[in-house]
Amino acid sequence: MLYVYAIAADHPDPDNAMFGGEGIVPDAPVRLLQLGDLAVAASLVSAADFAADALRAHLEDARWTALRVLAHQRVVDSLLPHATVLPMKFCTLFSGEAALKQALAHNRAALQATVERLRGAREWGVKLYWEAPRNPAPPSAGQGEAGAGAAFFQRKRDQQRQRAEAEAAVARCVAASHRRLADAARAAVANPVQPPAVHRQPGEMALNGAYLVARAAEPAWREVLAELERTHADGGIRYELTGPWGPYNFTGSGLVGS
Amino acid sequence: MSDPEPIIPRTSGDIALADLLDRALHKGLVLWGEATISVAGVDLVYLGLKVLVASTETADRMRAAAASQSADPKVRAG
Repeated sequence: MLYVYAIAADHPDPDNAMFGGEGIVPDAPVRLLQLGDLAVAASLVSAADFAADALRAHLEDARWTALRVLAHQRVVDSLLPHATVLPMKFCTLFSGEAALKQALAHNRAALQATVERLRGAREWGVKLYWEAPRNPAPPSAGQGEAGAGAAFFQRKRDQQRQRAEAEAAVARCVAASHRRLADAARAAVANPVQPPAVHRQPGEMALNGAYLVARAAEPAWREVLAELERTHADGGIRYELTGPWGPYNFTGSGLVGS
Repeated sequence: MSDPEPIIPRTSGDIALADLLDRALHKGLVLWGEATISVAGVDLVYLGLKVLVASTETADRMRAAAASQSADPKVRAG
């Protein structure tokens, strides 16, 4: 069986491609198969581990899965400096080289269009976190009991109003940030935000964006991000940049063979 | 012009793993062929969450172990 990590175009020297380190499993070296204009990074793997039933059983083991996802990513990362890379979804497997060739042939035009779209660009991630303003200090004491009750409800109303105003301001900031970063990029996507249990950062995630940025446009795009940071630093807004990633978010939807 | 260097470098640990799972499990090229065998039928979103929970549990255990060690220097983890 063939485990496929990525399809690569524009590789300068596919005949002489060497990958350091291991593949998806420790004993599976990575090979670059040249199939027409495209090169495919793949490993021969055993059906004992990767046939549908065996794989499903393995995937129940979170540690096994985490190590395999990291291995997949290592191979994609190693290709990024040398080629235009179309990263495959984790655990894309073919019965063998013949099936892989057939799938490539059936999707030739779509793959070529994807290569054109990705050529010379890299994927970056930008996440925006915000922290709600602290509750205002209670007003000074000295009122009677009835006055204290009224003050309590007034304070609650004030807090609710401030929270609503802050949320509206963050929503505007998120929309503007994504629009400005997208305008400076070749393509952009706003993904679902991660819940606090997943991101484990202070504050709430309000934007989880991915941006495909042409290398030549990276300084300008970075400057857009730096300007957003300067503008919103006082509003409890924090940006986090990750990358460069393989362009997972921009490979398009699935390609259907035959 | 200000400095175009990365403002925050690539993160590591749990955060990067979450971002990686977001990409490798939920995105990426899907290339179906006649004889493609893939993770069809496996809920990749559920799979990603399981990996994250396991990794944070591991991280929490390590933090707890480190904390108990520093609280009592005589105690050594086996």
